[in-house]
Amino acid sequence: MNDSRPVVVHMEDICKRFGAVQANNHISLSVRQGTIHAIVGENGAGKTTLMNVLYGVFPPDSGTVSLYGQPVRFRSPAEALQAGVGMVSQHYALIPRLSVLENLMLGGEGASLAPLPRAQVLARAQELAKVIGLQADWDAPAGALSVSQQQKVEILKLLLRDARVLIFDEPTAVLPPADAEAFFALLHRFTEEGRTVLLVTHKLQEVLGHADEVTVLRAGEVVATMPVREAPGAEPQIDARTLARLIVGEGGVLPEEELLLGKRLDDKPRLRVEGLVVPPIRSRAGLKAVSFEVYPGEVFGVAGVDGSGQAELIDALVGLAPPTQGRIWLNDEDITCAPPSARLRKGVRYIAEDRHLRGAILGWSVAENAALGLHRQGGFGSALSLSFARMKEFAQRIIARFAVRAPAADAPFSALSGGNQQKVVVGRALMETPVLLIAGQPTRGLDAASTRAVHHAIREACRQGAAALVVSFDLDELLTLCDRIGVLFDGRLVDIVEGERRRREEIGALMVGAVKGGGA
Amino acid sequence: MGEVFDIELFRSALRLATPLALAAMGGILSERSGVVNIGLEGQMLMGAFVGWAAAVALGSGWLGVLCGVAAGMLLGFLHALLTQRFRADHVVSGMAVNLLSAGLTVFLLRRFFERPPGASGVPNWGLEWLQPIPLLGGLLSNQSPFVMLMLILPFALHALLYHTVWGLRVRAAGESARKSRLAGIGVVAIRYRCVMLSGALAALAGTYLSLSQLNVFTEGMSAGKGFIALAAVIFGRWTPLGATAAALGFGFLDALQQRLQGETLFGVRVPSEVLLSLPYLLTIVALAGLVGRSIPPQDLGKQEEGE
Repeated sequence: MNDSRPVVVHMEDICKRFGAVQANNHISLSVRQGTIHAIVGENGAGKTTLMNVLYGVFPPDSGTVSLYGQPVRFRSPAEALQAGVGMVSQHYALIPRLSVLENLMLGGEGASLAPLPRAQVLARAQELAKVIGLQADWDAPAGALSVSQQQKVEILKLLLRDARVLIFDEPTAVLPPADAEAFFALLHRFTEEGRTVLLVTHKLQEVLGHADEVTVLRAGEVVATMPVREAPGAEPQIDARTLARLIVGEGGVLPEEELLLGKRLDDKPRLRVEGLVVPPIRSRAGLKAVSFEVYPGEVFGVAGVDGSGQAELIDALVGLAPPTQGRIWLNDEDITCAPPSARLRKGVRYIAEDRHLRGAILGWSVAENAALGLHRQGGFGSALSLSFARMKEFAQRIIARFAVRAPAADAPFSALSGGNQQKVVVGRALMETPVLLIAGQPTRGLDAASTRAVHHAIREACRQGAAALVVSFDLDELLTLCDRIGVLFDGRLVDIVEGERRRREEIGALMVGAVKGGGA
Repeated sequence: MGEVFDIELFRSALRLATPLALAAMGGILSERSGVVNIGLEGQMLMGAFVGWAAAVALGSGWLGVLCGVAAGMLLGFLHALLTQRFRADHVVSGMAVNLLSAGLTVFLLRRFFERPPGASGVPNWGLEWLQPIPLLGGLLSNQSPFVMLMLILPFALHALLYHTVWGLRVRAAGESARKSRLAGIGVVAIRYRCVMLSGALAALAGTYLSLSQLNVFTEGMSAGKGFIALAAVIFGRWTPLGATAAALGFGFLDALQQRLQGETLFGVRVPSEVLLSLPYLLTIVALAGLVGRSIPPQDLGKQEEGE
């Protein structure tokens, strides 16, 4: 053990309650200088809450925080930053319409009416950008950057303030594999410089591969804190099974290891896409003449680096973006120009990649969100009436089947943790077997048990005759879940891999355009 | 025909644009920080009344302006309190400010002034040394100090918004309150300041009406100018220079309309109502995205969400 290293962050007996939920229950945590300290746990275990307390987003109900042995009480992130504690939150905190440079200058020191320190910040940023490998147009709006670049800008922002304690909340959730590896190389570099890293994650491989110590949270309490390795770079002393068992507790569900392959139930395609062209929405490329078919009983995966045309594909399939060319057939019926309501009626269901933006209305109750989009066919009433009883009953069935941690069916949706919100959105799409499921990152931000539940639900729906198309940036997810995987690169479907060729390396190379696929 | 477009038309356009531009600067400050301020109209009216009443009581135009501005700031504080502390809907709160002003000014006017006396207003600036300069001299000499302010303020505000730390924080607060807070910005404090300054500027526009243009207060004398100022904000895409250009354009239309009473333009008799409604029509055109998209700050009018 590295007992010689001084404790930088010490949190003692932290309690934090949100309404009926005790998010943090007497949590104590010590983090040593120059280490990567991982914090793991299921959704709703209290990881993010604890980090928000440390970063001064909200104060704890009770308990103390000390930094380098000095008690501190941050009343805002500004004070935390000033003391050298910085956080890169799960949903990146860059303001999309401000330029990269403006984002970097934001929240910095300096008298209000002083001129913006453009030149100084730019000079230092350029220097630091070389270190962390960021290439960006400083005057471009931050929203135009790829997720990997945005993350680097966030890191740069903390380095500019010379943060000594860096908190990362699910940092690799949306990064392509190669960028995730580069990210961890950067973390090791930081710890060598004497900085301290707190890593909130639910990917056990990241803990075993990179962390020095790990703290496991379950239901708001610390289950265990233990060293992962003797020294940086050494082999881990614990294995994934032990860790997973600690996370889920006795009788919990362990993450899956088996593949979930299905079989085609029919040779007639359920979904046929031919020569689809969609103008760019959130990528540079848009979608360029993409053709493929999805058959009943199978899960068709779509791999690719973020911004390769996934958003355009999904929008065209659910009816939110009209294609300029090409056709979409559902069971031999042309639905190219059908509005979303018509597609819903025909049994197309959609799990949105961004539940806040598209999946749910935060101010509504769980029950209302459960019925959202199904209001026409779910038997919840007619144009002039609405049966809240039936909506609640439907929500309760989702809560039961997907083990949603919700106080009640009529509780506000915003009271649920992110993972539980996602379960409601997934449950809504899958309670009745859909004809076609369109899913964008269906397990984004979910823990092992919930991910497994969602995967099995998708599989089960396909066994019952559904066809599914799943877009994900997590290659492991696609490899576990999908029968065939189409790879998007620069708006084109460069290849569809199945059978022997379903390998990480093969798909990874196709994703970055390193090899030309067979075409599709 | 020739006599329609003379220097006096442009001088009057400047005068008519002044209250619009000043209030629009207030609108920009408030809206850029994320608070919808349709209370500009009420703040302008209150500024006009309090400014005039104080000038009557104290015998000084400039002291009147000061009091009027203070009253506008108070209404701005009320709007900030309702929207930030009590989380009222921004439009509802703004309407409340408008109704309060409309009612209160009429009540106070009738209660304390049987026949509204003229106040000692703010005299025009001669600026005779400008006279020899062609065009500029004709336009700016012997104008109200407010007109000069209207021409300088947008540049100051532009510098403030785009070239100071404070301005960056204001823009960030309007784009995303949550993210700004994470970046260590005191969003609520910024919004309070911006909305209060917004009220002050709208009231300043009001004191121009009652202490520089007319030297008397009449009921409802803001007459929708606050709303046209808001239209100028939108038309100018929430930028100080753009909004001022829009305000000058609207002022010109107003001047033209007054000039054309009963006259013809290019042989056509244009009803003044058509010209008067043009600012509103143009705003709809701007909002419809026909002259480039006009995109409001992203968090405009939204209540800050809890974690």
